[in-house]
Amino acid sequence: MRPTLLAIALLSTASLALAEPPQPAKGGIVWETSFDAAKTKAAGEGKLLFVEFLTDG
Amino acid sequence: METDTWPRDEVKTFLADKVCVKVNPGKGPDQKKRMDEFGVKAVPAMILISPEGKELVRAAGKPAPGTFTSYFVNQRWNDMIAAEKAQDWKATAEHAFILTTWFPGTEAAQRAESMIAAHGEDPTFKAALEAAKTANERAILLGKANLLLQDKKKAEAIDAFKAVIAAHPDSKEAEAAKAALKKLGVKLDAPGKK
Repeated sequence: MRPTLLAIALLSTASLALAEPPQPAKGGIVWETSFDAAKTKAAGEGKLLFVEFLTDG
Repeated sequence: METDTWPRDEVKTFLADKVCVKVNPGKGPDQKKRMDEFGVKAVPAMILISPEGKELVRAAGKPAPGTFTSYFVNQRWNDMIAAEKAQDWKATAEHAFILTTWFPGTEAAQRAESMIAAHGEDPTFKAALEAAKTANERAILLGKANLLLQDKKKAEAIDAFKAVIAAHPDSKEAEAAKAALKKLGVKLDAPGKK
């Protein structure tokens, strides 16, 4: 029984994973260093530009 | 954000298909100018911008960890529901386009698809949806040309700018493409001239 249950669990996990849209960035979020270059890159690649306004500390 | 938001898997997933950049007004006048340009009065703040350069969603402050993704998607979802309630079909279509295009796989996008199916034959809704799609395509086409130029692929960029003009001759993107070509020293044939 256990192997069967394990197989079902694995299949369910696989189905959920396939249903997910973009996959997580494995190494974390990539931050561009120049706003203008990032804006051009986003538009050229047909992506959204995410801007975080922040201060240090 | 560094410790409780960015490391979260759902946040990394949400940002994986986006280009991310930080603006820190404490790091020089150009950064402060950028903040003023977007009318950001206080930090932290976050904005999502479309390839057209339109602000899609803004977070003033810091969303609670665990609500980051829904914070952005729900704003548009709420806007779409309010527009539908007001029977503003143009706005409803625009919000539906944004949800289905930029937040695919979310429950809000699925419900926006249903909205499109329900109202897709309304002339105002249909025209607005089509206009949103075309505007996005034009912006990406021009964006590709600009990106080629940024990557110093001049010959390919020239072809790409010409493609923008050929595909959408009466658009603001065509005007921008013409200006870029002029800056590159490319002369365009006069209209009607072979």
